[in-house]
Amino acid sequence: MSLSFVKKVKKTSFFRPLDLLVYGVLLALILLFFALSVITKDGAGEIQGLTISVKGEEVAYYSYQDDTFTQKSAFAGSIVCEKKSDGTHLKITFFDGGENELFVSSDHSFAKMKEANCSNTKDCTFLSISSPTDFILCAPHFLLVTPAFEGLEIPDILA
Amino acid sequence: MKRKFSCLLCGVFLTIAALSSCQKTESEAFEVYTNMTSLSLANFSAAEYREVEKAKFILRGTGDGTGKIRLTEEGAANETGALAISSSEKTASEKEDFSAYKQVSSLKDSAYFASFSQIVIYYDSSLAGEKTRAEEVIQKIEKRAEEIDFALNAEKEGGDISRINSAQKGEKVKISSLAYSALKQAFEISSFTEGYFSPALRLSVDLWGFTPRFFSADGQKKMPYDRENFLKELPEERFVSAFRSLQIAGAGTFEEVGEKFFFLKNNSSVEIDGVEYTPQIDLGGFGKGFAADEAFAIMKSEGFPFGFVNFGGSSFYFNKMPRESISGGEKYDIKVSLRYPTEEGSRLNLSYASLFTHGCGLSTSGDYERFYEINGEKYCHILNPETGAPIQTGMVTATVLGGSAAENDALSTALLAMGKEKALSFVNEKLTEKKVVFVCRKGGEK
Repeated sequence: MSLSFVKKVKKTSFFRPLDLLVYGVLLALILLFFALSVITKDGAGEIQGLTISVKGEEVAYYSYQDDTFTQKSAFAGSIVCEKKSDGTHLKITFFDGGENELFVSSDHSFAKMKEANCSNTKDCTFLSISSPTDFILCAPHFLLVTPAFEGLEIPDILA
Repeated sequence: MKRKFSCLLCGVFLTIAALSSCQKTESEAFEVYTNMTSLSLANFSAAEYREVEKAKFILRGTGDGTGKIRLTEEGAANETGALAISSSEKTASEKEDFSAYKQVSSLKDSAYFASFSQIVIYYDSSLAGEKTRAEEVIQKIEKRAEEIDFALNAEKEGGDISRINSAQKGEKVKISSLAYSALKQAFEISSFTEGYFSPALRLSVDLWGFTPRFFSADGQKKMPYDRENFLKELPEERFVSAFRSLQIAGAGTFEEVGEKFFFLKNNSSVEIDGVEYTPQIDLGGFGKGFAADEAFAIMKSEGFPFGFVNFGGSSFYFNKMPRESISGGEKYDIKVSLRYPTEEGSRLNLSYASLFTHGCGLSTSGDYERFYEINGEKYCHILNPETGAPIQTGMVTATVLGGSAAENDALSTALLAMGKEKALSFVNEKLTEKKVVFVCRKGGEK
């Protein structure tokens, strides 16, 4: 990389007034699109349960309908389901030492990652599931929790 | 010298490569005619559907707002990969809450008229017992479909149509009220379409190898007119013309005595090689539409305004759909895509057009559904009553919607038999109350 090029980059300002305006408009459009997609979603339906996946494979399912937990396939760890007065606690332990605790409120109004020993930031503990489009991802543990829901599906017809 | 030779070789290779890339598969072109308005055209990208690279759909006739088809001017036609047609009118209404709606459905294969059936009812899950009630209505519809199948399916021994077909010429056959009303409707439509739809084509349909017995190998050599290999030989002309004349003579008339119904079989027959043939009835496509209408009537009488039925993938009744809106359509609409009118496209579940509708029947007929080719000529299951042979009109598919599915079944078949010019004038003179889309090969009639 030549010195003149480096000097050119240094001189470039990314925060000229017009640039800020462009960034603002772009951000507003993105937010508007996001808001519209949330507001106008068709046939969202209520959450029926939670699907727990590890490394892309579904390993367990927790049903809201009858509060039952079902392990669907083996993975490098274990899941223990505990029902307490405040709700259901799902403790996920990985053989490599990783741990997550998923909490489901007793009225099924939300589910959130209560505990995780993934990293300092523990981003997953800020996430919760209360609508069909929510999800919880613990990337260091390759753990994904998604809601299962039965939206009203009106198929397109091929005549 | 070596360098010159290398350059020459490179030049040759490059030329061959250039010529190869220029060679394009000759694409098929289809002309589309419709009396629908509010057309909006959409283009597929060629990458999405490889079939689109090979076929063009050219809009040659559009709706003029009165239910008639207005031909577009030469050169002003729109070429597109697909059409999106809006058929619903805006209905201003209060916003409804459909969040509690769920569905119950039934899907059966080879249940009625040797084809599959799909019944879907949407019910309000907030009402106690509604799900059970919806399931009971589905059972009621299935029971009615069975009755209709038994009565109107010529394959069902002991059914009304089967008994009519087995009767001697001039014989009076007692039939059920169901068969009576279906047959009357079919014959009325036959008259309305000037004979282009005929319910009395069974002998010709069987002659050409399109009845259900040809679906299996052991059913193919039963009748005197059967060929050794019906996929490679044409039927004998004497049978074709004999059966055509029987059809033209008519199948019979109706009689109603009190609450009893009769079909008086026509006194005509033909004899070939010592075998006597009398007029035979076949309500194939019409029967599915009739069943769809009956299904809607049951849904309506039981107080389920949301749902749809699908018989055979070509005869539908769409009740309302529990939705406030759908992109491209209106409240209560369902999106219906019209099947790509080629064997390959149909097999891949591609579509050439889509429309939005609710509260009506819809039927589609096409020459790509069942056919075979002999010496490069295509012979499909849709027969031209005038010739007694598979249509050679250049028409490939027709869709009719609005009102009765049974009517639409017969009308879509009739339009294919008519050919482009006749179909255009027929729609403009007689079908302005229906919504029609039909497609023919560029160049139209052969």
